Amino acid sequence: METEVLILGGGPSGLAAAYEVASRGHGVMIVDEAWALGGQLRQQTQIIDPIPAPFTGLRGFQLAETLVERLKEFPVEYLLKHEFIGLFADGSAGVSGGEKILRISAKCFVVATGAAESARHFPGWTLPGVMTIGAAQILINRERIYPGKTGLVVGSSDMALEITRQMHDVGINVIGVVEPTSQILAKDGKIVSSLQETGIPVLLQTEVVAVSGSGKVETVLLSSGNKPGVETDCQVDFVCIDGGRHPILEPFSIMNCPLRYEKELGGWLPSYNGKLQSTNSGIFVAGQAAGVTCQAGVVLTGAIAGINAVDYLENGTAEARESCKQVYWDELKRIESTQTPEVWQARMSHMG
Amino acid sequence: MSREYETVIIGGGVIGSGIAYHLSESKSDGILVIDKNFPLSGSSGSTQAWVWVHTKTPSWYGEFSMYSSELYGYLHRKIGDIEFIRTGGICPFFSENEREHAKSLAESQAQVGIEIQVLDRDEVLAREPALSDKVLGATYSRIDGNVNPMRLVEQYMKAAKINGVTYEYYNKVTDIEKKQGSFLVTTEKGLFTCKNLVLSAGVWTHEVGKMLGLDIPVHPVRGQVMITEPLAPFMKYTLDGLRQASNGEVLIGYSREEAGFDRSTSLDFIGSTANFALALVPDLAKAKIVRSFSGLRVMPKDEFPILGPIPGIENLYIAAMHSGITLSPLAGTLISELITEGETSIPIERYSITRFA
Ligand SMILES: Cc1cc2nc3c(=O)[nH]c(=O)nc-3n(C[C@H](O)[C@H](O)[C@H](O)COP(=O)(O)OP(=O)(O)OC[C@H]3O[C@@H](n4cnc5c(N)ncnc54)[C@H](O)[C@@H]3O)c2cc1C
Ligand SMILES: Cc1cc2nc3c(=O)[nH]c(=O)nc-3n(C[C@H](O)[C@H](O)[C@H](O)COP(=O)(O)OP(=O)(O)OC[C@H]3O[C@@H](n4cnc5c(N)ncnc54)[C@H](O)[C@@H]3O)c2cc1C
Repeated sequence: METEVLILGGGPSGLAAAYEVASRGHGVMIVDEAWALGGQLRQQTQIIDPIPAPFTGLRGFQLAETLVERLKEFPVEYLLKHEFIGLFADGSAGVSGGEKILRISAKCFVVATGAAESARHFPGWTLPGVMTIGAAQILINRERIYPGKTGLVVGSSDMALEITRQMHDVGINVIGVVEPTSQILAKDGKIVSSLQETGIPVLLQTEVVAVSGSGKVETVLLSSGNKPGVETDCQVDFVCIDGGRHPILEPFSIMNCPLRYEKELGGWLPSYNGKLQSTNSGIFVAGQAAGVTCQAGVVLTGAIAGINAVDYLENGTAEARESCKQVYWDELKRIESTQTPEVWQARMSHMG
Repeated sequence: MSREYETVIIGGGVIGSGIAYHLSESKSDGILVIDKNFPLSGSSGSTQAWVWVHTKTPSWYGEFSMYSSELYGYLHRKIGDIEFIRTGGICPFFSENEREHAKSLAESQAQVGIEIQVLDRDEVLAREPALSDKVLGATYSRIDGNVNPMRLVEQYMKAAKINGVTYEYYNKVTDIEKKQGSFLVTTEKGLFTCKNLVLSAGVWTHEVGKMLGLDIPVHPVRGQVMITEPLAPFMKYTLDGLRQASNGEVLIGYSREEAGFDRSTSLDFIGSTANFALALVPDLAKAKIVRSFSGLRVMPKDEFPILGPIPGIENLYIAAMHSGITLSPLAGTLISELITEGETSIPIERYSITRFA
């Protein structure tokens, strides 16, 4: 198979990149290992905010649908249930549907493979019933399965508090959110107050000592910095870990893109320049794979990477494309440098 | 700022760390290991880690490998669990003329004390039922086995540090000069001086040698390895090219490519590696491959170890070799003997760099 721009990952950033390429008349193919497009937005039921027009007011899964819908008028090719697993010696990509390896040659790549959740470790963390917070979200919103009846959440990021409220909304008894540090990590005041309305307590300076049970989660043991030496037992049947997310690195290792450690951007990630271009000039990166954490940024970097891929195909830029990119960068700066200035700074310095 | 050591070892892979550990058994301080990265970032962290002897030829090289492999029995008692298992090694053959070759291998290796049995088809399938029934026979030896290379290097380092060895990580040696009996070793993080200097920089030994005006004939030969999901134990022996590790994963690899320092993997090779594995163990068709990696073999020009003093520059030693996992206990022992006693317990002239002159 052959295409001009091969997009790895059909989440919001990959879909946004595809739009910029396809709407300028170039060939695009999106490969995704999942059976549906939309990436991790598919299980997000909250309204995505802030997000630039024309996407304001949409819930996560609706944003995904809109990004997919927008591509319908263009001849974009899709290859779902296929995983990018390697490169051939001539630089073409190998994707596997489980049985056969297909070969796709492309003039350039946009890598938008997203992030994976990180765990937190404590004795008993591998017991069935301990899961990441995102996994609980997939269960309730996508698969319509209760992760359990009574649970505890470990960690207090925006995403954890948001999903805790969603669990409460579907009738799950969350006995509390425990946070090892002395403050709630969530930055979005609306999310924090909406959790407070549920009455679910956030226990600061509290740590999980251990999770135990016979074959599944039954008890968690907590210790509080406020009462040294005292350990409290809670009866739960599931525990959600909010350990943050880190860019998925396998595609970059396969493509021999050097990695760098950037604490603010989620840890190890590929090196890239101001064009979101890796050290290999035909490989662009976008979204969470590039260490972008806010939803607006995920879509905007996808779009910017898409335009840069067009520049790459056309061997140079054009005024209209430059001003389009400028609008996206300004938007990203406006949102990110007010919400998370340290992340914006870190990205600027990463791009050098 | 200059820091003084009696011995500086450049490169902390299995060879450098093995030397540091063995040297630290008799000298408790004054040893520094410098690595430009971290000690498993080079070949030692991307290897198959067979401790393999029986097909190593000519027999003087087989004998050398055997001595090293015998040291493994003691090594794990000294430095802790390194998951060394003497599984026995099987090298199967699929054509009749290879049988003759197998017999002459068994004869020549017997002369140096390596016991090899030539198995016929039924015998080899009885030992290792997972093998393809197209097999015609195999050479088999009890001596072969494998080790966990991550553990090995880590335990060498831990034991060496307990004995007082200092490590410098993420610090590249950029220049070396010899002045008034001392080496001046310039690194990205300052200058070190020492009396003895050991070059064990793996595939980069050529580059490091240039700093001393030497032309050390070592170059990288890429090898790609693929790994299956953990499978229930179904293979007992280490096969030539494939083994099941103690966690159930099967490591498969045999490619040898001239690709410079490029450590990418390519599906072309992964494909041929998969075919190689299927020809050997057909049941692997059902296994899922979960990852692959490539590593650089440290390849001397004639493929045999370069080990010993470097004549013309006093107190300079080199240890650069392929099969460094197998050979690290012996290489470590011999270089420490040279440094502490000035001579070795077995002759090593054959491995001298002077052979390339
Ligand atoms: C489980 C989970 C839940 C989340 N929930 C929230 C939330 O509630 N709120 C929030 O703000 N953020 C959340 N996030 C963050 C989320 O990553 C972003 O909201 C956004 O989806 C990132 O978009 P993206 O396009 O960069 O990556 P993704 O949306 O992750 O899309 C990447 C796509 O790449 C595909 N892919 C990956 N590797 C390969 C491969 N080798 N071959 C082929 N396809 C591949 C994946 O299947 C996926 O469809 C969540 C993340 C995760 C992992
Ligand atoms: C695919 C593959 C399979 C193999 N299979 C086997 C096997 O089954 N059995 C076996 O016995 N052997 C095997 N080998 C060989 C074995 O892995 C190597 O011989 C061994 O790892 C070499 O170790 P080393 O310490 O010399 O090199 P390395 O581990 O590469 O160590 C050299 C170190 O030097 C450092 N360095 C380099 N330049 C500088 C500098 N300027 N300043 C500071 N530090 C520097 C590097 O960072 C590196 O850590 C295999 C190799 C490969 C690639």
